[in-house]
Amino acid sequence: MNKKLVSSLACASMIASLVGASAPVAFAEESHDPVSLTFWGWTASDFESKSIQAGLDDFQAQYPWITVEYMTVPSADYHTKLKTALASGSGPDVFYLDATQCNDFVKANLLMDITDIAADFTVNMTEASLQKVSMTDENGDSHVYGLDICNVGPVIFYNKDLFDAAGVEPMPTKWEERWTWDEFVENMQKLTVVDDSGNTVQYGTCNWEEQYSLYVLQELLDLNGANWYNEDMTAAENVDSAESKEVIENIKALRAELGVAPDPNAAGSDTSNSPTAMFLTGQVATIAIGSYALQEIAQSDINYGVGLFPTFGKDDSDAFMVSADMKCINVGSEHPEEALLLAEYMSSPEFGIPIYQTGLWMPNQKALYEEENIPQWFNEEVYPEGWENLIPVFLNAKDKPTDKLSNVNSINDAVDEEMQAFYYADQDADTTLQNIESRINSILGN
Amino acid sequence: MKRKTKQKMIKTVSVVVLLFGAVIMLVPFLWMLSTSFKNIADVFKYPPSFFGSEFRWQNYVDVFQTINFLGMLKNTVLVTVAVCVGQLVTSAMAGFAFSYLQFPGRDLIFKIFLFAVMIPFHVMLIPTFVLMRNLKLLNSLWALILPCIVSPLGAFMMKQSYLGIPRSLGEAAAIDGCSPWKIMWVIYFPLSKPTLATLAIFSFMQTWNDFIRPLIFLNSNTKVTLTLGLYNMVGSYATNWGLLMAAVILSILPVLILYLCLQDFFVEGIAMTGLKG
Amino acid sequence: MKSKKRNRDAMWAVVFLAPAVIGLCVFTIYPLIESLIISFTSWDLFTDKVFVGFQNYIDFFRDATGLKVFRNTIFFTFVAVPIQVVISFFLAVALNQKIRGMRFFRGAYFLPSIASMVSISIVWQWLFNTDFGIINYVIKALGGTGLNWLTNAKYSIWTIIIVSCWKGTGYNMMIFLAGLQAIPSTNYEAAELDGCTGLSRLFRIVVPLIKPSTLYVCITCVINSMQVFDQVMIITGGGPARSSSVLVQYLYENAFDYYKMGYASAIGWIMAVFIFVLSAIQFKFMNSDDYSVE
Repeated sequence: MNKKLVSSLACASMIASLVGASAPVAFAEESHDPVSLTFWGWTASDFESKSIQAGLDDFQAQYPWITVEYMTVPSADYHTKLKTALASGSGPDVFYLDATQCNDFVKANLLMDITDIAADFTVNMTEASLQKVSMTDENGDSHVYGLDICNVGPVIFYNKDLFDAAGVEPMPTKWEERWTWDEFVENMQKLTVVDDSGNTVQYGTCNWEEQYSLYVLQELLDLNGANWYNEDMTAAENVDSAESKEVIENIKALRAELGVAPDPNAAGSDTSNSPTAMFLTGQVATIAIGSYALQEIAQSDINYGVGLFPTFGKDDSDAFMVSADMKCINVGSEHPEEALLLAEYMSSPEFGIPIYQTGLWMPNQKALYEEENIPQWFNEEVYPEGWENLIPVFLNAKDKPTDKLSNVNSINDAVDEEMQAFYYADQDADTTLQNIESRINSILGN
Repeated sequence: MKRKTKQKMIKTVSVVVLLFGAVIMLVPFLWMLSTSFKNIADVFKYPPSFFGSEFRWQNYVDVFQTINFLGMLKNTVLVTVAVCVGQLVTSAMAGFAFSYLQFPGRDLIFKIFLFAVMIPFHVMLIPTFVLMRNLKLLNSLWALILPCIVSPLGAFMMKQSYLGIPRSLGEAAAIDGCSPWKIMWVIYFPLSKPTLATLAIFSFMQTWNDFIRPLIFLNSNTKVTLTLGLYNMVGSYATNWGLLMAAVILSILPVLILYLCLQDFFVEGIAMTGLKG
Repeated sequence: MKSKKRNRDAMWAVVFLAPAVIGLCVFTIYPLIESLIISFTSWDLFTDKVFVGFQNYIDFFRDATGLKVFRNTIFFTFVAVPIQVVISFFLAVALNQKIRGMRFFRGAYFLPSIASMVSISIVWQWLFNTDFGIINYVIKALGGTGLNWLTNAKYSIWTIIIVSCWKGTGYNMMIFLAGLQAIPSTNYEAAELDGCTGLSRLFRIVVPLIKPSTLYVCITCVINSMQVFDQVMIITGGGPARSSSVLVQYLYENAFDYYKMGYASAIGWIMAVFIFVLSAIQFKFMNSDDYSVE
């Protein structure tokens, strides 16, 4: 089986599906030995798992000689278990990989370099997606180790009914019209309701103190021009800056001083899978969270709207940072060509469009952001009013620099620990930021 | 006169204290039960109340749909039964050797077993993990079963139990031509039922409720046990308390039923360990 | 004749002991030795082991996080164990008073022990919820202010202590009860004749007589407390800011999150030595007292 043939046919089928045609089944002519592949994903929401399984069924129908076994592994230890399995030779052929783990997996020689064979595929990706999947080696050459299918960005979902009741105007969705932090705080105060006995019965906002590896902290730091790393992500520098301080102090103030955000309860609570139930039961007016939450919120009874993060007034960018996961191939896979077919299928619009329609993901292919293609995935019943203004933001989004870090597990834990000390143990801002810098540097071996 | 009223006072105080304590022991379970029937709006209602606006049985149904509860139950049962039976058999056999048979090195080997009882479990986690990886047994239930099949404490307990059985029984059978194998299984084993029951109960409880080993050795969602499954649920459904409580109740139910049926064995067993330990 | 029997017995011994001894060697002795060896290396599970001598051990005592975790675990042990021992002892004394409803009380107190620590932890995490948990509700009803149990670095370890005591008390109470019930009534009668009753009888007669039970409860509580894990993983995750993080959790993280097998093994051995020393001290302390009672 000629690699070039495989890749160009896969490309052709992809472009064909972009325009709505069904994928050509030219392969059926040749005869193949049966091949069995294993695919690993982390525990996903019910809907996501079903979509993945449906996609796999379609794939197996298109390529009848390939059978795919779909195995889910609990999210908490997904990457460590994946790494162990791959390194001991019993790993899956194709698997999900969080972009931040890419560096560590590449260093451990576990990922297949698909730069050449995925060339046509990657050229159609959005800028952020392309940045996510490519890595630069010492010679400055760019290599591709995975394919991705989506982008997820930081937004604020809000409860329209609570906004109306408090007389707050809808949150801006145009990048130029974003609220300033002060305007945001003012509106959150209007949305916070305290009863006669002093109990807060409704909070303005929540989830700003989420863990470092998610969205809020990194986005706010970026918006305020506080970059914690040097250019090639080998060292931390300038962490203890006025801009960093401004960000973390303002986040803490929402809960500790202004009382507009509730106690997050269970430090280390992980909203990477489910937006807090408090929002879903109408006790919090807004939630700062990744855009993936749209799927679950759309299925709830909340009359919801969306808005962009407020700005500190210092940024000159025109988009936020996005993240998502990649599909990678095991360098030791016994069936690399079939594995590539599967990885490409799982990253194709054919597979992605039904999921984009639920609001879980935003597309990663540039073509899908073009006017005539948007209706294919823009489900009016799910995407709230104003979301069309977010489309150019997603298109121009940049990749998170932390996607290029190594030793991410240790770094995330260290940053989370220091931030928790700041949020919940009265450690002052300067000490926190200095500790973060020295700990990251010692982890990175500086 | 004075002493009798003093006695009465002590008794009343005791009852009051015990009742107070019993309430503290039971309220969390009652609260768990009440939350499991609430819908999400009632869960986040303040002030909290025992009853929600409706009786939401759907939570229990949802448990079976969101997590692979029956699969987890099956895995847990398989591992627990295997470990239980394994420990009973190996301990009984070893205990017999230590108590009835005479052979060179008997005391030394027994001392090694005693020493093994004192080793804290966490020291052995990493090498066992590496061993299982090398044997390609990671993510299989065998990784949970094999390391636990032998219980040095069990061997000790069975030895003590057999020492309490008159040696003459065995010797009489030996004269009749019985091999030690037969002597053990036909005579001694049945006579040690109380100790066996205790051992079985401890083995069962420890394996059923084990968390750290499934966490380390199991990968995929089809292989998880109840404890690991609950832990993963908390990760994914962190704030859906109604659903979580329903899952917790379902996972406690099998053990609860067992306990209610065999309550006396439990009590006897604990009493025995405390006195002999 | 005797040596022939001993030889025959020896053959049978091999048959009877083989499963247990093989299992012990493969899954206890070998891991024990291997764990020691790994602790002297730097190893990330994928590349080759690198011998580093005692470096891991030295690093632990220079590791601010490791020491913090060690302190937390010791604090937890030295608070939770006395609380459990004392409360379960007095509960056992109360239950021993031949009152009605013995079966009910026994069942109620033992109930927390049969459920897995994982399930118990999930429930208690909800009970400790700042805004909606009933613990704070009761505190507020009694006139206090609710505490941020899980998001305040000062209180988080207390949630672990409370849950551990709640779960362990019933079990320990049963052990004490068995010990109490084993005291023959003749001791009580003799005490009465001597005019010794009530509290003084409790402390002068009963406590010394149940020394074996007390020793057992203390030693097992200490060992279990030093190795606490399940409840920390679920209720607080070790946070906030590692204020409730414990040794076994740190071992787990170093081995399975950061791939520092050597360092994690060293932590395991430091713990084992510490536990052994604590147990030995308790043993000596309680056994030497025996002679002073009469």
